[in-house]
Amino acid sequence: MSQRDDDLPDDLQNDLSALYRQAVPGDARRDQQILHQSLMRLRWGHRRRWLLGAGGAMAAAAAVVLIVLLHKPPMAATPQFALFALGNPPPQGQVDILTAFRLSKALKLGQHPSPAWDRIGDGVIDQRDVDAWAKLAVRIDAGATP
Amino acid sequence: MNIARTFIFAGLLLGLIAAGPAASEFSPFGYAEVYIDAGPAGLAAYQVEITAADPAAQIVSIEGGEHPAFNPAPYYDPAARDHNRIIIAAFSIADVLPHGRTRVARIHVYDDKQSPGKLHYTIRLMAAGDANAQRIDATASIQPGEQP
Repeated sequence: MSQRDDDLPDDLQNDLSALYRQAVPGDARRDQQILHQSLMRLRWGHRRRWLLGAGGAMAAAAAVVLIVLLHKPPMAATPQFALFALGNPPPQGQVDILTAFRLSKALKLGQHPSPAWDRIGDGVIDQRDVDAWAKLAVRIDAGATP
Repeated sequence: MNIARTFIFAGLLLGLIAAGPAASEFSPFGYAEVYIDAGPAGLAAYQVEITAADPAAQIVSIEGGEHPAFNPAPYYDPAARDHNRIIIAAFSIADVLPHGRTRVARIHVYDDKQSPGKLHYTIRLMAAGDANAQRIDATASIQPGEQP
């Protein structure tokens, strides 16, 4: 017949425990290691949760971008854009209104004309150059037969 | 006798009145309208040379055409003003362009010897282009008028 310790009075239990208790030599280094490992596990847990959250968000964003790209209509590549190539300006004697018109179209389409189109020579190719080419075209001594 | 004199006088007076406007018909100011017919292609650019037959004629101003794409005054050489020859040109990057025959410009002319509205003008098409800035076949014409 066995009798459970729980059935003993508390005082008796304490006395018996004190009688048989042995001093266990402490190992501070080992305690530190255990504590360090516990902390590391705790931190890794936090980091892993953060990585999982961030990774999930990034994956969701990538999926959204992919869906948008797949369902986006093709860029408005108008035939004008596809067919239009500016090239270089013609020699002065062959300049006409189409020269200025081509430059104007190129600028409208966002192209970057070569520096040869910089008619006024200010380093920027813009509407003023378009006007300058047009004015050259209509110059009364520019190629017109009297 | 008095009645006859009165009739003669009245007849002369009426004749003078009738002849009056004919004498003042001459006006040194006139204009000529410039047309381009690009056919079915949309006209996006043109350049023409215009010459008035009378060397004394002076082109004094230029205005744009009827279609919104060519409403602004065309390009021209200011040095050509007050002469009888000029080159005008314009282009449009508008989405809607004129088709067929369209008035692209009006030139105002001064000539104190011959009525500009009755002058003979020559026009030479130098260039015409479509929306892709490609050359197209077109015809140019000019039609004189008086006192617009």
